[in-house]
Amino acid sequence: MSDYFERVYNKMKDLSDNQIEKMLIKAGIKNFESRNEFSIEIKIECDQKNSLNINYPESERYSYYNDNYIKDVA
Amino acid sequence: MVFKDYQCIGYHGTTKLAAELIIKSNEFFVSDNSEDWLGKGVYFFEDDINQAINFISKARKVKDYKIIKAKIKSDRWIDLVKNENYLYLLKIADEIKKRNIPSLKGYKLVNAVVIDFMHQIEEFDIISATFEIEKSSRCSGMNIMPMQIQICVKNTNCISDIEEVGLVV
Repeated sequence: MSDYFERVYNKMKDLSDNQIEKMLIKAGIKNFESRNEFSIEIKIECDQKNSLNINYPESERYSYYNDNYIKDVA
Repeated sequence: MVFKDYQCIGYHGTTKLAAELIIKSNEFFVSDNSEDWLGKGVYFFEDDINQAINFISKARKVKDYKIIKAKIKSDRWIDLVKNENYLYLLKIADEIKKRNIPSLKGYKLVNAVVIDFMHQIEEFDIISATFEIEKSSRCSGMNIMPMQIQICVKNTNCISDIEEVGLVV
């Protein structure tokens, strides 16, 4: 392993679960839980077996890297 | 070797008001949004003004925008385009997932959190990665993916030569 990652990895090994949790919260995991929910209408097409094309406005695509937010697909 | 010694021109799209403040103060405002893909920092597109224009005008839908360019330089730069570095990042993420951490239950660990976790353990100046763009523009049989290189500057001392880019509309 290279120097930087080796140091991070080794320091991480010495941290307790509680310490790591605090650092992860500082890094932002709570922000995800507390943020407001919103929804927009998206068009979903099924053009072949087992294949879904989800089309949303290009201007919105930056928001959709987490597919946990796509719900009620039928 | 994780760190690269590198410099480039970065382009940053923002509102007209924010741009005026940046130019006046000669410093950027650090983004503290946990949705930012590379964690907290100042974001730039590497050597591509059109990416910055598309981001601010289409993704953020800002009509009255400005583009600022700056020189970005550091020898503590983590480049995630390098497969070796990307694999290390995954290894750190895997180690986090192995821990018994209540706050992570039902939570999808995202790269921004892993990166800022690493940064708390040991600081670095800059991290950059490629992200796919315009998924719908690919043609059948063409496997070249439109990509953009995003740069997240954690240490703003690495930013210099800040100037507004004149746009011809």
